[in-house]
Amino acid sequence: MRLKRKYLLIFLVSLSLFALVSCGGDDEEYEGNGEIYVDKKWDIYPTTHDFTKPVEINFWSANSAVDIHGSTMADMVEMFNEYQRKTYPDSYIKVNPSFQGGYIVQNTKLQAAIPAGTNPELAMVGVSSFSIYVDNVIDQRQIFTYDQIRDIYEGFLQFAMYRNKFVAYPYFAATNLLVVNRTMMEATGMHVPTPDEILADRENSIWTWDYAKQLWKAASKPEEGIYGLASGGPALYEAYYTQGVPIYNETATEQYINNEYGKRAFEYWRSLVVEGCMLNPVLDPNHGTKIQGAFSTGTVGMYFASSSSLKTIFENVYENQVASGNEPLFELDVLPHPRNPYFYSNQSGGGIIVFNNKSDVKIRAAVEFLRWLQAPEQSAYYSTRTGYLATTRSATQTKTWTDYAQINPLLDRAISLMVLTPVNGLKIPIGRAKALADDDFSKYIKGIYYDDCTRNIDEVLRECAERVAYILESNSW
Amino acid sequence: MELEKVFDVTVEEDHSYAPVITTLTDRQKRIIKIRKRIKYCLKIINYLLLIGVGLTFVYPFVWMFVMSVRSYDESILFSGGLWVNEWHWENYVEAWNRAQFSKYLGNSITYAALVLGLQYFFIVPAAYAFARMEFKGKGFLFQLKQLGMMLPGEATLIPVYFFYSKLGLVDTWTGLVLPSLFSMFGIYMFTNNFKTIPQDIIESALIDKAKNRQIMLRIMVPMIFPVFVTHFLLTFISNWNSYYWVLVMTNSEKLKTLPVAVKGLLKADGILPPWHLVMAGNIMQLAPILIMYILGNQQMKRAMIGGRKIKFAGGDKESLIKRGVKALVRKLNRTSKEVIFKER
Repeated sequence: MRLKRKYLLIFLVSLSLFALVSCGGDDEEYEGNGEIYVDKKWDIYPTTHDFTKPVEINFWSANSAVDIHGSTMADMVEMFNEYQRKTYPDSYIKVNPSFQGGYIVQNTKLQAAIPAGTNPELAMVGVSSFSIYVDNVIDQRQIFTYDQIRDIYEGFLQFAMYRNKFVAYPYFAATNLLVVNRTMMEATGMHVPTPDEILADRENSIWTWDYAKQLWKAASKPEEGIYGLASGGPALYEAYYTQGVPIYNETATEQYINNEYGKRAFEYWRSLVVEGCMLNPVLDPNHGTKIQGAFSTGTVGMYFASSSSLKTIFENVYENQVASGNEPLFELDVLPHPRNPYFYSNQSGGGIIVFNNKSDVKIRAAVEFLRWLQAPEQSAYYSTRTGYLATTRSATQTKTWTDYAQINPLLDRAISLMVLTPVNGLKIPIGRAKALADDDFSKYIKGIYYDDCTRNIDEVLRECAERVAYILESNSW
Repeated sequence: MELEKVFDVTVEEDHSYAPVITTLTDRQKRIIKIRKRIKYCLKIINYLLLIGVGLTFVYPFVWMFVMSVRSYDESILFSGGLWVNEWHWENYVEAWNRAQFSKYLGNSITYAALVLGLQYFFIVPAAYAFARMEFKGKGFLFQLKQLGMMLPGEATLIPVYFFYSKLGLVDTWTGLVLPSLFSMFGIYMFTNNFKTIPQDIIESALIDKAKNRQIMLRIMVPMIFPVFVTHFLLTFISNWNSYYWVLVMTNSEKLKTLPVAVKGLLKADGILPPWHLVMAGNIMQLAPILIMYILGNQQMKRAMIGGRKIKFAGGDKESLIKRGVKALVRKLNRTSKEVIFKER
């Protein structure tokens, strides 16, 4: 009996402690995430190699050691280590790469490793997790000069800023775009614009929501299983930002989904299925996987995808065919999401953070390694090998990049779309709950396709807004 | 009305049995006929259902195999059919090389061997103690372990990782195998089966001054051999397939196992996965499990659902006692011989 009472007491005390801890919040209120060029006085770590003995640091990558991203990073780390050993035989930096196999696993480990002090010096972190580490990392403006930061594409910089801190260096970047089977689309007889044409005159470009729908409709033959467009679901960010309005506030604590812009976007995306421009994405649980194959085999004219798939698609449709003495399957191109009235390319991905709980020597070593990775030649090398977008303008000027662009121009064209940042002074939202909210929004928005596309749009819109609001409220702190 | 004679058996008052001739009407005959037909139809339906259920279990494996021999172009269509236009056996070689199987296979074998080789030193004595010994806090300890079994591993991962990293156990074989050595599932399984062994056997062994260690190893463990084999197989399967735990508890590639490598074939960030290679990798990873299951499935069935040959847990009590006594006699004979030998 006494034992039971003791346990009950311990249990109650623990509960009270948890309650007290959860009551304590962040005192600081943030209206936005800050402006990278004005919020910080530039005072950076020394640029010299100032070590008296060899230093060993750890770098965690969220990739797997056997995929192309991980193996390329392993090669680059080896190149860095080799360079250090040769250049500084008595005071070299040795980086130990570790491949965690996914963001979720790595985040779990880091959550435990940071309080234990066993975290690495550097880690590759997804954009949705930047907010988690904001207090544990050093501001990247202590690592890079003003000019180096200006060299990074604006969209990538925006997703790296959170609560007035430049949290992570954007290194694993991608954008959402339309991959185009130009051969099939031009066979409709309608004009298919090019990225250059669009960028030359954005305001008057014919590439609008309505024109795109006409083009997709013209290319579709639903009775033969041929469609002008394929997508895993509506493009969330593009649906709103192309209308000049945001989905969330800057710190992703409030949603702006249920409004006339949302209704317009929902109606448009549903009409694409109703009018036979694209296959209903909720009919097959493997739809997302199957449309990738359908595009590669030429039964889909355009495919809404991440730019990180461009390299693989190009290899499959062009490079491998030519290597085996065949003609390319079709002509490939990329296009941004159509405008209404604005263009917008959602830029996202991952970055590298440097933890602030390590010794000064180790942090300086990590800084030197990150600077080496960021250098244009290395940046271009990584991008051309993996299909991630180069994040700096100078990287696209390197020989590595220009040579690669001769073979595969798609990545270069995708990068040209990076100027399509939010209009009206809007910024890309960054916050703790953003990724979760995005996930649920992308599930709930598919309500427009259920019941054979007959559900009430206002009802679906309301459901989405309520769900997202709940996620933001319960996960923002 | 034509009558038919059939034999029936009735019990006489003097408790002797004698055949009694009864007659069946046409209606009764028809009912019997209909009943027979219904039984026959039900049997067919039963078989059809069994075949259907069996196919749903087999289909994913067959589909996985079919995908593994398809060309890249064919595999990316992700068709659910089982037809292969061109057989590409070289996919297996490519998957082997890409996922660096030769490197990770050794780690998988080491991991499984360490767990299987060491865990019985801990879980068998613990199970014996819970089943047969009385000590302070036994109930509480058992409940505590049960609680541990109920909590999903993912829920405790952060605190476990915290302590492991503090103790320097992350990225070491010790850290990797440690929790499996005290597997609650194993302790629970052995405890329950030890409890089913009749007390008479233990008592007769105690009368003959057998020690706990002797009772446990010489009498009880041999008596639950099918359970032992089942647990061995289940542990092998679970450790061979262990993905999340290995991924979390390792940093360097020197300890990572096959599932981690095969998962790596899927690639990250929405890039088209080479499904034909992923499936070839899965088949290769699955092969040892299938072989072990084929070899040990009879024992597993016996332990899981019981069978005529099982002589424990509510089975033939007499034969259990006989076997226990025989084992004890053998042991005592050996001990007495050893004593004589030592005395000489």
